[in-house]
Amino acid sequence: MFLKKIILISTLVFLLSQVFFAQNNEGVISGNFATTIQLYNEDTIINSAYPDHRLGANSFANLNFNKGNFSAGVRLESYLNPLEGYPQGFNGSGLGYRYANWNQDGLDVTVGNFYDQFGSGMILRIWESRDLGIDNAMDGLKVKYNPYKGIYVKGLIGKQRHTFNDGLNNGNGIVRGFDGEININELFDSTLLDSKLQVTIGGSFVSKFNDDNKTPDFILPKNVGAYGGRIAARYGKFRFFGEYIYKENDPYADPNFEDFNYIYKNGEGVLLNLGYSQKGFSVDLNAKHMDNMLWRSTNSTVQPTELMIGFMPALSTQHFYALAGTLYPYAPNFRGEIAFQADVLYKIPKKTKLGGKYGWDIGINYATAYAPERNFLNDDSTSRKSYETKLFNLSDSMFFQDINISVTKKINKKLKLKLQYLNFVFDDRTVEVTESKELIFADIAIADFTWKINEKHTLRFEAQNLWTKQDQGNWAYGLIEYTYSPHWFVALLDQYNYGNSIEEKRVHYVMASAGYIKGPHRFSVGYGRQRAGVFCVGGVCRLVPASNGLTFTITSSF
Amino acid sequence: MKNTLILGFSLIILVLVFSISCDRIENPVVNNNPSLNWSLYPDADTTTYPWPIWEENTNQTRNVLLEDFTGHTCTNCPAAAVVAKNIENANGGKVIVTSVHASTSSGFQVPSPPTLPLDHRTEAGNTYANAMTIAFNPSGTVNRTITSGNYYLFVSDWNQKVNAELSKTPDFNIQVQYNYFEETRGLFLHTECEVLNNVSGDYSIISFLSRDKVIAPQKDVGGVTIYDYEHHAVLSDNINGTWGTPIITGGATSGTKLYNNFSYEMKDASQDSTYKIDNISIITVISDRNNYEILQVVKTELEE
Repeated sequence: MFLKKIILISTLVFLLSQVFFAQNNEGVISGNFATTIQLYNEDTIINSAYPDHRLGANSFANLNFNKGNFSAGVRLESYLNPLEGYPQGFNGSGLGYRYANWNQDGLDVTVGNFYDQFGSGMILRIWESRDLGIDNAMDGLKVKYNPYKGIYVKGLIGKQRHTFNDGLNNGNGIVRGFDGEININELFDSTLLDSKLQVTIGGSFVSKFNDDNKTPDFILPKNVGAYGGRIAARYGKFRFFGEYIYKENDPYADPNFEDFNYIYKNGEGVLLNLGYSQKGFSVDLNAKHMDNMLWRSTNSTVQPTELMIGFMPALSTQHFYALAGTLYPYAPNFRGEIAFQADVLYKIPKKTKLGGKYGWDIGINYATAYAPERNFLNDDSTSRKSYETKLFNLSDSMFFQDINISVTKKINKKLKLKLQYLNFVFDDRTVEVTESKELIFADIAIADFTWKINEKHTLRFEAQNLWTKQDQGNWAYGLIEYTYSPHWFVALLDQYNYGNSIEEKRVHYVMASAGYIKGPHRFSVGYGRQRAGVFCVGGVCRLVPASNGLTFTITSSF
Repeated sequence: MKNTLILGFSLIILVLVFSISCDRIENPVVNNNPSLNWSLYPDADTTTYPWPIWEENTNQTRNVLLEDFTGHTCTNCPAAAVVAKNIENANGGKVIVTSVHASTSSGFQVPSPPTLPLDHRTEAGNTYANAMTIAFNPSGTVNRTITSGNYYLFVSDWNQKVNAELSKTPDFNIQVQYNYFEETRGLFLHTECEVLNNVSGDYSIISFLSRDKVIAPQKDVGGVTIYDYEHHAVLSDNINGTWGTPIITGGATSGTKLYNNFSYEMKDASQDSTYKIDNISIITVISDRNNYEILQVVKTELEE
């Protein structure tokens, strides 16, 4: 079946290319491919994933054809079987995405699958992350038009990708959206084009139609709308972005919390950003109030990341070092939260007394999130609004806090050092990413040392330690990585849970890996233990189970 | 030309946007209590039912139920009723009196036509009298507590016991709201029980119907029959059964709120004017299922 589809698609792309190549030779076919194959060993000490099928393989290939104003493409996907921890709903092989697009004279039309975003994404963000297992691609029609200078409008309608089972399966909900944006400076270009103040305003309306949920207990709205406006401004080195979104009654089942179960309260979200940047210094301030902004194209219960129309941005730094990034990463609370973040970057100039020959890069970041103050109404047998909140009126219930500081110093031409300290307060009673479900206090120290031995040889060392009295206790992490440019690298890492209160769980997670890169092709192989953790992108997370075995990946593009 | 294009395009978009309406649901709950008799609700569309909105209950008093077990041939009972009424009047709504025409023998309650033709007894009243061994009239219970091994109290002890109960800290609060539909004689009763302190044990909510005034013959001292005697707060029927509806089993934590809904078809006032709605009160209690003790009580006077 899968082979037939591949042959069909390949033939289609080939024929298309022949048609266009027949006219002239300007058509271009491009694509990329990636596969991750994991062979699982049984490892009872770490309670590793050990499925009956022993081997998981996630693969995909994009094929795109482009000629002039026309483009078309497909993505073939394969999950045989999906990697352990990958979301349910990805199985088999087949066609996961196909589209055709053309644009002319300011009109841009896409039919088939597409991704898009209105504003910050609170009201609509159609996106995919193959690593996370998120793909809420639309399947329908999208039209963008630029009717006049500075005026940009787009409208879309379609169903969202829900699952993949030997092919694309769309949800039943229909999403309809319209977004308009006016660039004031472009609109009045004769007087404002070169103004120091640059302003863009926009507005969006998105609605869904869905009738999946047949609960006999409540009358559910079949058509739910959300709308809002935004403004983006820049004045010299300052920039500002603000967006407000309002969502009409949109109840979902939330059986664990009766106060949020099928509630008809309208949702609202506010996102504010103020930034300043100049050479060697920048500051970025963010504030967010989101309340009852879960926004899916179905009102039935589905997996957490499925059929999401809106995106709830996390005001927290996405940490890339293993202990900081995967043990206690913060994911926004979809019931509601008020969050703040401040980010300051400063470079002590080079060739100064303090900065030395190469200067210093210093980064300070503070992020926190609280539950909104809620005044509950006791109206569960009547209007079921459930509670009232006020914008940015936070309660004393803190979900999360992250204070971190990093210093990066190039010592000489060969040596570079980065030091980072992080302090977390993490309320796992609400974030729920560990088994401990408690308030966690953690400190993390990281040292990253790169030694460029010569043009071809580089050694990198990474040492991390996490201290906490909660959850699994203290962790240590060490990594050594050798790169032989431009083709080879090998690495050895160990994560050691030396502070676990249960002695048998003080386990070393040793992983060896190697890779080979040649042009657009990258091969890598890893063998060892992988710790259970949480993998996040932009505040959207998935749990990755502990595993032991061999992992092989290939990525390529043409 | 361009302006026309912009205008036309904008109009199309606006039409599209506004043609996609949003469903705003004001009354989302679908007959979520199948135990309610919805035939008593005049509108066939039950989603229009005006469910109550609850406000914070600020009561800090443990109210007292004084049950005056009486009988219409009991010659000492009118005097006892006066005592009960005086206690009720003296406590500004914190003491609620109900006249229960019952005793274990029913000696003073049986009808005695032609002078005393009416039967004021109720099934629930008889059951309470038997459960608490109310062997004589007049006698009373105060929050159905036990004193010297007995539930019953002599009239002379009522006031002291009432004051003792009033001094206790409440463990529960009750709020009651209702809707009455004249055309169907349908009474819909909604209760909110709030647990104020952590409690253990098993508790039920009981709502019963009391007629505020019933003019009917009564024997008085010396065997004299008073034909236009005003019986006060006569227990007349139970809304949700003799022992009510269990709401807590094993215990509950402070802050817990429990909601119950009941429906009841009122008797036809054209047949018996004492059942006119403005002569009816609903007395709602929280009772310990293991020893009958009343932990809280409220009285709701119905109005048209």
